[in-house]
Amino acid sequence: MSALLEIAGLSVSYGAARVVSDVTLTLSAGEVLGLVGESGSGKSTLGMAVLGLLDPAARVEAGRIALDGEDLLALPLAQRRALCGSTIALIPQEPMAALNPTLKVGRQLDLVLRRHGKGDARARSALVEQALASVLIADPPRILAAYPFQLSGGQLQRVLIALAFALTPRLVIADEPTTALDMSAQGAVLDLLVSRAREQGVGVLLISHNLPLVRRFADRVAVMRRGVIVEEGPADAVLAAPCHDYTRALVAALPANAAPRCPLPVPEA
Amino acid sequence: MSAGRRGVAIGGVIVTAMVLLALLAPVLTAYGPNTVDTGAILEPPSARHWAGTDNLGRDLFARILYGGRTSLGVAFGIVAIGMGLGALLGCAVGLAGGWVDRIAMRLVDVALAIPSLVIALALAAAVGPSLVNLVLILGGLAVPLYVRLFRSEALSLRERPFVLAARANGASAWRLLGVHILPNIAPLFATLASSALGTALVAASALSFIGLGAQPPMPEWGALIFEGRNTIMYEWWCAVLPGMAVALSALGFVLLGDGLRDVLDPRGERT
Repeated sequence: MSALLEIAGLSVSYGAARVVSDVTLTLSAGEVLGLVGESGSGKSTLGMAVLGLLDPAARVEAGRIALDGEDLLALPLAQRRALCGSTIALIPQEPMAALNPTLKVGRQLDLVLRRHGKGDARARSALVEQALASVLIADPPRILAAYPFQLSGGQLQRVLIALAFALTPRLVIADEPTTALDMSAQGAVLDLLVSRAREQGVGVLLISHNLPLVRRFADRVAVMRRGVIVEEGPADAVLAAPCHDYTRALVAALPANAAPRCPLPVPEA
Repeated sequence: MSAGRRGVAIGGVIVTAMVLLALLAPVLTAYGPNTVDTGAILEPPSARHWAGTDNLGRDLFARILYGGRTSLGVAFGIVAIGMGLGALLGCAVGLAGGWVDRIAMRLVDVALAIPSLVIALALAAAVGPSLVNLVLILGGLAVPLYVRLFRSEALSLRERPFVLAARANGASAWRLLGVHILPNIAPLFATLASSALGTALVAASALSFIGLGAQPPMPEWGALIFEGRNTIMYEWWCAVLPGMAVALSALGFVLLGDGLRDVLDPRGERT
């Protein structure tokens, strides 16, 4: 697999606080790279740096982010913005809050497609319906005519996945895409995301707290702590036999590993 | 019925009634607002003149109805300029952030440090008394306050996931402002606008009362109170009835604004 995304020696600071420190990562087309670590470890900041949507208070101090060999940090702002959505897509973590509450879902999807010049209204409408069908959404017209609050978290996350892939991006940054979903929906949504990515040869940076899901769906995993990648390798190998103390602590903190293995008390008949 | 809904209902009825009375003035009265009848000077309210007549024999009911057009129109103009510009600028600087935001906020600090009533009086005296000047001055002086209010709302909205998602999908600054920020401040805008209309109505009437707004013979509630002030002890209707129109309209706007605030924010709704 060829290198799609190359991050080399990237450091990001908020004032004097360095939140991403000398991070080097690569991601190939069609690959899923899991990025795990505790809250505040710098995972989302790294994702936002790739998207070019860092908080105004944050600053890239050093490093290089290249997509298909092109240095994103050297691009003019307008050119960088044009990549957002079309070449690099984001699947945000809170589907219930990730769509504008005052606009119908169909209108929001249409606005994004129009922004990226996807034909006339009829062509965009066909593209939207096709995108929704590809994420197994039943009754697309009803979903398109609904406001976000009228849909479930799972439906909204499918809509967001459909939107992310509708513009045939090269890279998808999925920032904790299952955090707000119930257990039954988490696997289904990630299954869908990863299968779409593999079909289209899209690289996925999967930012997550959920180690079992990362182990199941990611090809490789990078473990981040206090802005530094402390361990990286094949997801199965790293999470089954972690080398770094921090990774071991993360794996040990999983409820299945941390809880005493005693049977639940059963009331007597 | 909760206090918020009661406020919306009562305030809404009062405001709607006042606006309809002003708009339907030609239908509701046969008298012109400036028609002088020297045979009917300072007549008390009667079946012929429902609100009496003034010192030139003009029908006061007609002058109050037509005056409502002026007073309410001025209040709407002040709020449209003050709050409309304030919301637009506040959201724009909040969204822009960085040095644009810092400079804009320091200018707002300076503007808010100057007593607005004193400036209004000085400006009105300098540019000359007229309704257009009144609207521009009072509207312009309200802009900094609303810039600050809507800027803080935009700062909060800017961090909402749907705005971040829109940016991640390549939305331009104008699209963020027009599609994602402004529609989401509409509830706050409606609430503040209603209360601000009451304040603007009273302020405009006050300036007209001291001669810096509507000029004779134009009917305007503040000017009507001014015209009736000398005879208030004997011919009370000349000043009291226009005063009641101001008070009732301001009450309606404030009740509507408070009610909307409670209804649109379920966390704060009182029962």
